[in-house]
Amino acid sequence: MATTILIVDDSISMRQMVNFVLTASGYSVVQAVHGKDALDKLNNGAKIDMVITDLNMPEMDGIEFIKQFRRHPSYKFTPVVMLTTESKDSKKQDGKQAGASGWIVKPFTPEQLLDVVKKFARR
Amino acid sequence: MKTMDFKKLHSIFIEESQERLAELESGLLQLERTPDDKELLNTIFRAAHTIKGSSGTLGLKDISKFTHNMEEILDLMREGRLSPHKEIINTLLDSTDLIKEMVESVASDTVFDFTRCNSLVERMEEIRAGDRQVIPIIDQDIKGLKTTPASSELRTFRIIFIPPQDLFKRGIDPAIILDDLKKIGTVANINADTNNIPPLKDFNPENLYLKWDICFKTDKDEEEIRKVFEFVEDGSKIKIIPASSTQKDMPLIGKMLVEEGVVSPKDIEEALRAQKKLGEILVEQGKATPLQIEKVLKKQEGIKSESFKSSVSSTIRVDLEKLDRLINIVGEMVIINSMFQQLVSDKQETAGDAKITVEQLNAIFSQLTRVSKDIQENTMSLRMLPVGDVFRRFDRLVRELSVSENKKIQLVMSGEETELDKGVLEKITDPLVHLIRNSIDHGIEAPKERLLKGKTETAIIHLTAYQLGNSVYIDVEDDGRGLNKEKILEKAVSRGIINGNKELTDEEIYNLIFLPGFSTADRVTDVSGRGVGMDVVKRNIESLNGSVFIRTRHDAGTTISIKLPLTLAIIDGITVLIGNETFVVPMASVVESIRPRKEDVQTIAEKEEVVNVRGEFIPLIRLYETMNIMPGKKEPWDGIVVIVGTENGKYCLMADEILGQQQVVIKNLGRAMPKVSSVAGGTILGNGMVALVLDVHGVVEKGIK
Repeated sequence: MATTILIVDDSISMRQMVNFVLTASGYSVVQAVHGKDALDKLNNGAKIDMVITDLNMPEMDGIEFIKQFRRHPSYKFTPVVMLTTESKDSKKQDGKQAGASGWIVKPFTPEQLLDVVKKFARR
Repeated sequence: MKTMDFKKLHSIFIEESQERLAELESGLLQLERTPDDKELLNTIFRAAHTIKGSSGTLGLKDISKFTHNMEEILDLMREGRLSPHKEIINTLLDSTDLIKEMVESVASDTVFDFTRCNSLVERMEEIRAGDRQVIPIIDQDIKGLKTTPASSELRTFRIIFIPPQDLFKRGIDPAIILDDLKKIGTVANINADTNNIPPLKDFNPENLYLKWDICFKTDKDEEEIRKVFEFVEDGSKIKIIPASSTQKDMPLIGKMLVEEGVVSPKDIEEALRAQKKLGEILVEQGKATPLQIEKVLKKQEGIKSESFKSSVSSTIRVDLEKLDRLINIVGEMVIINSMFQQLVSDKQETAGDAKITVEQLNAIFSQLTRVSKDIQENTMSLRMLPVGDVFRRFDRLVRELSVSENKKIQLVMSGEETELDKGVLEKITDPLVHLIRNSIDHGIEAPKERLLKGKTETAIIHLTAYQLGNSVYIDVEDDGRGLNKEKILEKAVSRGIINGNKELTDEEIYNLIFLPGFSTADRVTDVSGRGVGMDVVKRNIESLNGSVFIRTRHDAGTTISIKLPLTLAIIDGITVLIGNETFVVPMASVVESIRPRKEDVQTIAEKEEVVNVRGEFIPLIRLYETMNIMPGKKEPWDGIVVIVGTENGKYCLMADEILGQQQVVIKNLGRAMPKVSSVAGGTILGNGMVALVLDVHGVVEKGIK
């Protein structure tokens, strides 16, 4: 089974881009439009190996999502990478506090994305 | 990976950015009024954030960089460290405009001149400087972009890595880091320190107790090694000690010049940035004149906006609910299909004894009819968009025009949720801009004048949309001075549009402003009088099968109503026969149809034929002449006339006979057909025949010539 990555982002083009890059490299992808949507999808039984999440989102932002995600027994050790911006150093801190494994600084290239994904989502 | 084609993602980016830009614009305008609206601010921030993120991701770094500035300011607002003053809002609005242009150039695949951003970036940096010491973006970029190429020299480092105990709980495996190290060099020696592992009874398998001491050989510098530890830096102790400290690489000529003390790093940076635009260089070398350059630039802009239009109109975003509804109905159709199948197989099983009854068939057919109608309606609704999307732009227009005209104006909108066909929506934007401009320029008085008249200083423009029956109305209503009858008459006479001694009703006088070349403005101003008059507005609306009405009262204001059909694609029509051809006359224009008596058809003036309809003389247009085909009936009293109503009055259209009334789906005739003003499109009738749908306004125009 292919490694499955959950993308949580409210921007359709960002999701499409990440989806495009990851599927082209053989990963399978689950998409969610915000934290709540992502948790719903996980509660509905989606199995994932890694998460890439945006921070600024409606309904439930990335930090809150990571917190709730980490509380889930099956996802205690699952890598969570947050998409962030250089200016958001405090946010990065919040994310790490919440249990994020790493971050990708926006804007990023497909290569950078794949590098990070390869780093965390290995079997 | 580098060959990945991001072009196909561009269209999504363009569409999304446009939505976000609209959000940004209307949000910023609203923020000025409600500066404390946190939720609004968040929405605006997210809009900028998304544009920045997606542009950067698609490799549109300059857009991303520019938007970053906006995002910073918005963030400071969110933190309450800046408040949305007018000056700041203006700057952000201007920036939004510029991003719009950037997105447009992405859409049209042309090059945007990013040096145009400089002054805005400066303005934004000043705003941020008001809050704290500015860290100019440019510095970060130079730091980030100009990583020095690696020298081939191998160096040895000693790395001590003490991770935090809870590393696993952050989803990180230290083996990842060690693996990554191997990618940029060679691990000559590695020692895992196990001293921290507790006795078994205290041992928690979810904790990490190890630390490492690594001897590492690489041609990379310390910074790159540190990058490997990027995600664990926090909470870990990491020491990277160069075994032999070497000087940082000095690769570029620039760096060498700096070292020699010839120039400063800032000079290099400036020199790099001072690269001139191609046009400027050519002018300097005398190879082109500034005028020529400007001409080409203008042309380029033209190309841009053209291709922009074509690239955005091809897609549509659909409300998920609408789509779900449609899918449900399609489901019902599948059921009907199996009902029918069941019926047929039942019949076969009973060996032909039982016949399918008319009732049985009717039952299925009535279901099918209902479902087809549902499908039709729902599919059409996919094309429907709320007018609010268009309305919101006018907020900006009114705000800017009121400043440039020194008038106080408030725009009040209602009925934003009213839906219109996307095609219609696109085409009414320009006419609406014109109407609003007209109101502000001609209709609304200066504040002083208003006060003298006992009106409020601030004028109000109501922009209202509502649906009535099969039409949508959009009203532009102002409380200005109203149309001046005398002035219109005077102008019409002086221009020779009408002759002075003709008696006109008020309505006829007001309608004069729709005639080509007519303008009530005494002067050509910045806002209107650019040669685009109300005649163009009217023509645009009529090309959509719509119409325009004026209501006005002296010193009380003017209302201009636009009436539009709900949709362009499906219309009710009357099918008429002329010779061997069938034509469709759109029902919206049809008043009645009659067969005139011979004595009612008269010729007046020199050549104009009229039909006396209960004492009213209505001009006659013989469709077979207009359409240039052989008729079956040559005279009106043998055939039939369909009376149509237009803005210019009623007309009788003569045909052989009326075939019936039905809904038709208008199809575009395509590029192969030359554009004919009297034909709105084609359609396929129930019997499979093709018929042309008449454009009544076009027919009338052609017929009375």
